[in-house]
Amino acid sequence: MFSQFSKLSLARAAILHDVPIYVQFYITARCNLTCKQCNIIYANSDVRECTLEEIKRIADNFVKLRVAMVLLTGGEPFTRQDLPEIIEAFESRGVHVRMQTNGLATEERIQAVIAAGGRDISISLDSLWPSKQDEINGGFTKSWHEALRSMALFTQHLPQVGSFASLGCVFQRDNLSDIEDVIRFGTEISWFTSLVPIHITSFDHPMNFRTFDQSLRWRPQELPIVNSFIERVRHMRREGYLLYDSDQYLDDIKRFAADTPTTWRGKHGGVCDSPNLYFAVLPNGNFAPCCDHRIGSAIPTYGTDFPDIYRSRAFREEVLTKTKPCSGCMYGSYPEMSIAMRFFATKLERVKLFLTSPPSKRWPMTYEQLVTLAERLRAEPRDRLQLPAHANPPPAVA
Amino acid sequence: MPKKILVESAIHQLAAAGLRRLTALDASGKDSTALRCFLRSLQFEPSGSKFLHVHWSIPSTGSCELDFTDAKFYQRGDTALVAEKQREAGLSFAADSIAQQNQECFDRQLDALLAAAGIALPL
Repeated sequence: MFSQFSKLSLARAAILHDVPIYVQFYITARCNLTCKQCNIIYANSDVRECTLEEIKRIADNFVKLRVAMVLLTGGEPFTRQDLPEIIEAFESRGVHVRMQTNGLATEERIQAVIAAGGRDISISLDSLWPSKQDEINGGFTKSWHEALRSMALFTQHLPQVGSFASLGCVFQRDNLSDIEDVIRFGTEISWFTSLVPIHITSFDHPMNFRTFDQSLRWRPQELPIVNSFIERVRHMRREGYLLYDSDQYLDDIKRFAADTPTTWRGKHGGVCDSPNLYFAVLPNGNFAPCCDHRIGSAIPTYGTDFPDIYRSRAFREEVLTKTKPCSGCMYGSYPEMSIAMRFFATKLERVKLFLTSPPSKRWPMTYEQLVTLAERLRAEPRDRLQLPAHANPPPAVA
Repeated sequence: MPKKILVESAIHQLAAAGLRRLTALDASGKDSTALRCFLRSLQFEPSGSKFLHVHWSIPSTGSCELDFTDAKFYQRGDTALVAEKQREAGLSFAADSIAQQNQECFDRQLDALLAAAGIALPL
């Protein structure tokens, strides 16, 4: 799945921690859903979108920086008509592309992105209950069915060897009871599940991805249930279920939910690894340390001087003004990249997963098969965790 | 019901204007507590697709309407036609003047909001 170029970058990053192996590129802010937990589509609404010509220059610069993997995200990437050309721009240069989508895409467009070289897909799935998913997605109808339809199409058109498919699942109060079933569902169709706990902030401290909706905060009396949940999914992973998240990441979800410091930045002085191991790119092509922060200077990553700027001391110092005071995130990929590159056990797990023994796939599957599977799993009698009924308001902002 | 995307965008951009002001105050060693408390007290209500009704409870109760008709959100770049328009407007391979204008728009709206609430920031 990874090109020789990407493998070499990953190997160097694993030893020296000085290669930006992972970039989140927010290719658009436009989206056809308004998910409860997502604020990035509003935060990035103010900038223009890059043109394809500029994106090709970004891809050139990524090669110079030895970027191994770019996540094409948004907004909804499929709202960009030129998504296949964008994928081709990176893949043809050896930069691995992961596509992130809510699944609202036609078969023709899915075939086009695969033909362009896309081999790595992540689709959002928060519940096996259609109405629950639709509610989380902002009150739209059929978003759950569309997601399953797209999953089926990817299993039909992606090659079984050399591809990777995962479910992105936001861990929040609304779907705590459903996530174990999502993991079971993913495992039965050979898709990994990756959890991201909900991120919330306040209006006087906007952080681009984080919602302002305080009603979504965990209540103190719910934290023991959060902890039980984490132990249960950890146990599932040890039993062979396809949960992508590392032990350290799972432990940090507990800490994050309780508003206590996480540990994954511990081997780097309590600061994340942006821009050394990862960074983000805004829709207009400007550099950002991550999805939550912007720096004061506008630094276009398509600029011919970007590789030199990236290596400069002044640039590093400006990024540090954002990363050092940051309380830290749990967005999945940033923590997992740091953990995989800095903690030996996880590093070995990732090598095994992607390079030496990836799991076999039971593909292709039809939409009808996926719906039937979801119906069966959610109807099976099981001891599902539930939040207690209560009337308490969410905790005050720290 | 789905959120109103333009309204939510305006709310975030107003928060971003607030953060710029807070950062400037903190950087110059001035007290930002009043502004921070005021921002935390804000509540929003859509008022048409390009207006926002803002309510606050600190330092005293009040409200006003903000106008973001000058804001340009979600400027596309994904087709030959829109790419050509960007080139003609001098946006391609150049500083993002759309973002700059949006920033100025919401900085003005923040000023209007602070004036309506009677908040004088330290100079």
